[in-house]
Amino acid sequence: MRNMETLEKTTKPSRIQRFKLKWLIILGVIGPGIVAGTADNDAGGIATYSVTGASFGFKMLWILFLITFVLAITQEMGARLGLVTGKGLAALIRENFSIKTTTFVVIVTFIANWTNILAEYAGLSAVADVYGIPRWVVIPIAAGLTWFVVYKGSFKFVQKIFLTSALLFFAYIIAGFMAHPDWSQVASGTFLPQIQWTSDFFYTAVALIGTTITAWGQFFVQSYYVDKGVAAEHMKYSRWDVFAGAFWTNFVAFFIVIATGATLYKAGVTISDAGQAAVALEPFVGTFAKHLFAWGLLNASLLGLAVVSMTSAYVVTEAFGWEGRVDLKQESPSFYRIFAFCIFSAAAAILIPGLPLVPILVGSQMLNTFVLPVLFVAILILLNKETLMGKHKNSLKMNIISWVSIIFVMGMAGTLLVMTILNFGH
Amino acid sequence: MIFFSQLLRVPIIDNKQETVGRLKDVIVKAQEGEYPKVHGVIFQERKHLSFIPYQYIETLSRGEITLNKSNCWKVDYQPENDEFLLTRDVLDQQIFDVKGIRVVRVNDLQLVKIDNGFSIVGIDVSNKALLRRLGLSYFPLFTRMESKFIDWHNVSLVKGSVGSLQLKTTHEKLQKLHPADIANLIENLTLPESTKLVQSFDNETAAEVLGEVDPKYKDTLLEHINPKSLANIMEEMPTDEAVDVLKDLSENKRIQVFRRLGVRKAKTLHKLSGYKDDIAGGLMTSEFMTIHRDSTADEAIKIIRKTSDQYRSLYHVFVIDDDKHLLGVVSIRTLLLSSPKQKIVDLMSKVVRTLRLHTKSEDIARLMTKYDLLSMAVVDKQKVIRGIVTVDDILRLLIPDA
Repeated sequence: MRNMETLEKTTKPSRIQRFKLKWLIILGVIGPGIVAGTADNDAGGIATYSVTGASFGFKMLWILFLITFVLAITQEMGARLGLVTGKGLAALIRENFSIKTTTFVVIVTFIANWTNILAEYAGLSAVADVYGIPRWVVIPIAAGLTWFVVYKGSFKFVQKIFLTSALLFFAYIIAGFMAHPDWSQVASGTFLPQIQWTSDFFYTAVALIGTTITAWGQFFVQSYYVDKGVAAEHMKYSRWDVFAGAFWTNFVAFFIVIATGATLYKAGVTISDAGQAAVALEPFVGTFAKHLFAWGLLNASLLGLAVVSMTSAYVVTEAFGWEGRVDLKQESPSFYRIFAFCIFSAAAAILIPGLPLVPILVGSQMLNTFVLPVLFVAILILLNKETLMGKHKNSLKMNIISWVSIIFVMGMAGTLLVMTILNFGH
Repeated sequence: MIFFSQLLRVPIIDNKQETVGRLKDVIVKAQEGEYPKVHGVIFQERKHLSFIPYQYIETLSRGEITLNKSNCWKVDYQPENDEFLLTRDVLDQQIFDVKGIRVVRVNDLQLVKIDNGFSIVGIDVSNKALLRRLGLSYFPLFTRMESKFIDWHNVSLVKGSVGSLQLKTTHEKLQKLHPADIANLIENLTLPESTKLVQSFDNETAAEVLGEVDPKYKDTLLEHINPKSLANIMEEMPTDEAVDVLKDLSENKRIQVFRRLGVRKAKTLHKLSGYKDDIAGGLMTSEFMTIHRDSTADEAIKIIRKTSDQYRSLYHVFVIDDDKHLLGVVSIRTLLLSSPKQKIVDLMSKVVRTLRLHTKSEDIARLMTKYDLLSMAVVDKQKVIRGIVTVDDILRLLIPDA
């Protein structure tokens, strides 16, 4: 028995070792939440934030503040589902609801994602325009590069690229500081809710939410956790991962709004996309800010391109039983086929001259609005299933918080839908 | 033949022509070596699931189910141990295809009338089945698509092997497979499922299966298995594999597993885990047999008979002197062919090539190839044998993802 004691002594960790251990676990868990969160700031997101700042200054910062919590809550639900069941959302819907529901969700998500990928390419085109490079040069290179990294890279490598990309969003924070905003105004915009009763204000507010809470974001965070193989016992760390992702996403968004709000809004310059924002910033903040904005948009578009395409591949393979993981190439050819299809077909489509991009993007947002309530209700039903979740099932408190956030999102998204339909002719 | 999906939501009509409800699920009984028989149907009335035993079913078809009695159902029926439900446990779930060694999703099930009852004979995993269930049979490509059926004898429930119901037949089908094939199936399951499956095997099978799991997946899987089971499984592993497992674990888990290991195993592992993976000390196993030089062939064979289950493989017996110095080696063949009274020392061939604890794997591979050896002894400075490296350990290192 004495031998065992000495053994235990040698294997029992010191306080420093325990601290190190904790960090190792955190590093092993972290990633999906931050990647999924940051990817919400894709090309469409950056455009929305830039326009928000330019049109309304700091008046909408409080909405961003609120969205941070909603994003954290919805992403946490997805992460928890993934960790406990080890399955993606599409697989769970297939197993617990009807095949028709599954097919509806998959088709709508797939189309919405595809148009979203178009939007990422539109972001890339905007960057190309800023530097005067022809689109037909930039788009194929971006498509090829993204495909290559995800197809050839291991899970760990791809995640490293994603996390690096997430860090690069720091460019926008620098740009925000360079704009020398009046910080007292920033603070009052963040903490004092103000509403303008104009349709423009409402439209932009809803677009802010719509670009952050997305169907693909919900699918992605769950499948990515499953793919990473995080154990359910590490849930408290993954929760921090998700919260960090939600915070970082909106922190970046916050500074984009500040950058355009402190300059373009003050001077009364109006813009309609993120590329224009980069160019318009130059006279106010200098050439460096222009580059920061352009490269930030490039980064956001590429990350979005990879993440949204991967989500489509996850959703279709899980739902129809062609499961695969990013790690097991030979065993999941369907995953990579669908991924490649999304990347290359959208790249080809964006190069069609005279493509009516705006109606397509509006349509995409409408599809997102259709599928979100179905998803959230499904998620909540699943989270309340004792047989599925065991001790991790939703508590009453969590249910109330979830329902309030979801009704908030749905209400806003529904309003957007109605307004889009009414305004579409103008 | 009927597809299960065609029975779903079909009206159930009793002998008084009244509609009782719509079919929600079918209960089947698993039988060893036979197709599972339909044991009854389930319909839902408000929140209650009611069960109608098969004996009361007059006809079962795509259009309707008729009964020969009324009020013949049991409310809130709990299925028995050897029973499972088609909607709840099989349809749309993942299932093992033990012949194709893969995990597939069940798109539909085939029911066939055998004797005087219905049995499940196979599952349909084709996209054609998906279209049929979506009501798209009129789709022009539909008739040209092919169905992919898998015979029920070749499938095994994932849920049945790990969930609340433990089907004996499921386990039997799986355990007939080679551990490498089981490992292959496990790699395709979700982590919670594969973890439960490994834990549900007996320790010996679990140890063999874990030895075959893809290293990339193994690390994550090991972290998920609870420390107590893992310690028990490791007791059954050859020491070199157990050491590898220990090295792969996170520090936290390693401590937990260590505490639950037997004292002897823990001591050996602790000693061995100090060596790197690609040198003899890290590759070797402590499972080898030694015999004293003055023993006889007969005695040696007796010892082998008694202790052979301790060794995964046994090709040679190592000969030592009083101070445990390695002198030579005797093959099992030599022992079998010798006369019983012969002294070991006269039978043995002198060991010319030995490994040191720090010999590199490439050098071991070269030596083994050069001298056509299946295993080599690892000795320390005093020429005392510490372990052996077998050819399969080297192969595993050279071709890691086989």
